[in-house]
Amino acid sequence: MLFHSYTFLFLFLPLAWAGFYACNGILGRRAGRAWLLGASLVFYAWWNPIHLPLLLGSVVVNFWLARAVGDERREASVRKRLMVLGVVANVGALAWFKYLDFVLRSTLGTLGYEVEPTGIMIPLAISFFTFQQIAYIVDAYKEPGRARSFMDYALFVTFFPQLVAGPIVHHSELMPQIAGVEPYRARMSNLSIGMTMFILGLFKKVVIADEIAQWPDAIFGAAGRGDAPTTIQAWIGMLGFTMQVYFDFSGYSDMAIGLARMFGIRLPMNFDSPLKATGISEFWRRWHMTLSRFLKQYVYVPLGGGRAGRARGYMNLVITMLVSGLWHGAAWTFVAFGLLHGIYLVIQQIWSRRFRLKPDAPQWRRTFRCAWARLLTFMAFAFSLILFRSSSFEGAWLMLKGVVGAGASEGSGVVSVDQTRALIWIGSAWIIAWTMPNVQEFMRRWSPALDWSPSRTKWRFWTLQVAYPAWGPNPLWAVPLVAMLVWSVLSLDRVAIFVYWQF
Amino acid sequence: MSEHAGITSGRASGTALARTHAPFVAALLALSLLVFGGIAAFNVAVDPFRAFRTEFSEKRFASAWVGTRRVSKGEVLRHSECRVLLLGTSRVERGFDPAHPGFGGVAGGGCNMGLGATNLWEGLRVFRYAVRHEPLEHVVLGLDMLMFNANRQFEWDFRQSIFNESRRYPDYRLGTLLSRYAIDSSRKVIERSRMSVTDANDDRGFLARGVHSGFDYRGESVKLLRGFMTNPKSYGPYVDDGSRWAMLDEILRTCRERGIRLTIVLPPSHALDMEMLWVSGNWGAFEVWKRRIVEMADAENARASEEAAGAWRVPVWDFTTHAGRNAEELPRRAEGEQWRAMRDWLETSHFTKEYGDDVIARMTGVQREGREMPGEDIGVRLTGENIEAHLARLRSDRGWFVRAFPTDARMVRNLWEQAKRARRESAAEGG
Repeated sequence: MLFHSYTFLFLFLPLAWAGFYACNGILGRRAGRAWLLGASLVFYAWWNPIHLPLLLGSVVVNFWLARAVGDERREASVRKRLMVLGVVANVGALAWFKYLDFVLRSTLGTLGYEVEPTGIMIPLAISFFTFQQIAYIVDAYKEPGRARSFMDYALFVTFFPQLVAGPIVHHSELMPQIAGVEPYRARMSNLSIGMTMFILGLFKKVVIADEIAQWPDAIFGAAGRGDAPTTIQAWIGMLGFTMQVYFDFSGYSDMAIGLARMFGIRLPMNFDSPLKATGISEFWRRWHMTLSRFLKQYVYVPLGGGRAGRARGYMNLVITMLVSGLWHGAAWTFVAFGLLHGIYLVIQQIWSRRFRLKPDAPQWRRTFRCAWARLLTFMAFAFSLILFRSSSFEGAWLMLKGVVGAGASEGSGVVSVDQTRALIWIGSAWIIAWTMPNVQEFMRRWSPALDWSPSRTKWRFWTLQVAYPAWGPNPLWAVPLVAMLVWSVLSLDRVAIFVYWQF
Repeated sequence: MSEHAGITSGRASGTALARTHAPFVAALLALSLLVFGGIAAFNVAVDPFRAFRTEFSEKRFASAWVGTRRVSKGEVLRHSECRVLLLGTSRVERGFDPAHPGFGGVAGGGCNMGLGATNLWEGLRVFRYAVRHEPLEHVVLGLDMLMFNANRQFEWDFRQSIFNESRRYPDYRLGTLLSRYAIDSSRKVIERSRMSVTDANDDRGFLARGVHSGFDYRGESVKLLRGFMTNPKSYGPYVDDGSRWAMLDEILRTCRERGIRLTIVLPPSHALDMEMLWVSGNWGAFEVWKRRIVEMADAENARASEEAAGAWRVPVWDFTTHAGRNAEELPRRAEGEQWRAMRDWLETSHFTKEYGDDVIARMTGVQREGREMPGEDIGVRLTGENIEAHLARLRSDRGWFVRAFPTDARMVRNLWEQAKRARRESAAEGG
């Protein structure tokens, strides 16, 4: 089920919420938890029930494995073997469902064999729930002796707001909340904060991202079929997709955090205005923050991080970003996307070691450097998205040629794009992304996300130091929010799925 | 006030927080309910797709409903018991009356599910829906070659319809109440109602259109022909990627397995339309297309003979030719000349209901009362045995047409030259 569907908004969500608090009130917390688990499974199965047994099987097996791994009575070597088995089994399942076709095409295909697609359907959200469960098993090994109930664990993995596209929640963030008392108290504050975040996220996704999507879809689609875009079309495609994917995924994350909050649960922040970043490493600390955190904790650090020398540190960075690229999709274009970001990070590290601003540098140089770094970071990211969005290297090459001015000449592009309209929308989205506070900042007084407060995040409004109003539970705020909700709901007739849904 | 403090400091501050947030939540919910309720009530009252069929909407707006939309077509199926399903493009939608005696008359349960600018992908989904929900006895599948063009994707409003298999019923139903599409359709119906436009599809999805006096047949036809030549969704260019044949195969197989009668018909095409296929170099593809349809139908018939003692047969009827009633000349608008209506054609793309009646009569052997049974000069029942002779006949009909109507043939060729030139210029600009 999609968050931005009529069924979810008008049937599932009200029923899930009312049922949860009714169960809590009448039958107790255990029943409330069971209701929420049931609702999450219905949410998952609505899309394609065929994959529900796989999700349930994965939850049961991983819970059992984690218990065994975390059982202090067992020998350390046995626990380690079980942990490795758990990681390999999870990665194996992910590889089977998501990467088998890719591996067969890349190996047998290149040897000249005809490779028919296996026809294996990728289970929804497999990348997300696999990562969460790997972390749980690894941590059960590191910190044995933790006993959790199966219900808490199952709800941690399947809790519907974060199930299909994150944030990738760590068990230490969610399970204590599930086991605690806060979610089971029906609070108006949770409802008002949650609904506000959800509406803002819905608007970002349905009204902004989906409106912009039409242009990159048409332009990248044509490039994929071998039709070269003109220079302006290529730029509309590249910048349009940058805005689409940002508003799409950050909108989704806002919705997820808002939904969880309606049930009294706080999820970690996943986007912190990444397009305002002034460097690639800062960008990855702000973009899909929970994935970056996972990769750092469970890939980069175990590889040795930056401790084993500079060259090895660079290599570890590149490997981590390659994993990130492959996580996004089973195609060489995603691998190239990850590789490019690995290279970006290495270049940035070398650059920042060599060219540091002196402490006594004048303010104008600092401002100039900040503005230049933000633009460069933004363009580097937008450029890498050509690989991310293209269905093939041939398509990416045509887009690239268009971007550097070597595409089709003006007026001859195959795609018909209303350029003025596209530029107005993309330009407006860009201005919003660069100058306005994000949803968490807008609601800063109410600590909407877990472990995040505005004091820890720098406000970087580049040149505009405007004091934006902060949200509060004032009935007047209901007017613009309802307007945004109505605009979003009326636009549901043309929406696309989330870009990150497929991962 | 810090929410964090609110979360952790017990029941007293929880109550204070509730007092702070309750007015906001109440305002948000009340306002939302009011606006969404208002929009839904408006769309139920106008009922642009005739989904709810209230007394008020039927009285005020039913004659002006937007019946050609996919959503409306779905509602026709939902509200009727369909035993005879007519599938195809707008030619079927405008030409085949589902209440024709050949389909059992008004009580026969005929439904016209012809869709404008459709393709076989959409047609298959309409068919699947009907198989699931209707007591189908007979399917009449009107095929046009452009339905097999891989460039022809589904139309936007198909996604909103009940035929969209990736949309569950609650999403569909709420979409007919709370979407810009629904509001836009309601607005259109109100406009049509104000202007007393009543040329909507009937209860069975049939759109019996006529033309107004003074209608410029030639001008309209030139526009359509030019569109066909240049539109990648039609014949500019025609792309057969093979995917549509699997869809036809599914329809054939399902009908055989479920014992549903199936008739395949290639509806009449005007001679100028046929000539457009010839001059644009698509004639070869057209012949291949026909051969394959016949081959598939024959294969299914053979399978049926083995399984059901030959009781089940798929007839393939072809009404496309350059000659006969398809060669009716388009009236010229010479000065002083009195305007006259065409007998069988609305323009070169669509035939009239009367011609459609004769086509149905020819296929079913039953004619409407008071109307003469058509002769064997229209329509040929194709089999693997007569297909080659028939194709040769069509080529010779084409030769006759060029000799009999040299000006019209030249006009089509000129249109094609213009279309080619435009394409060349565009390519040259592209470097």
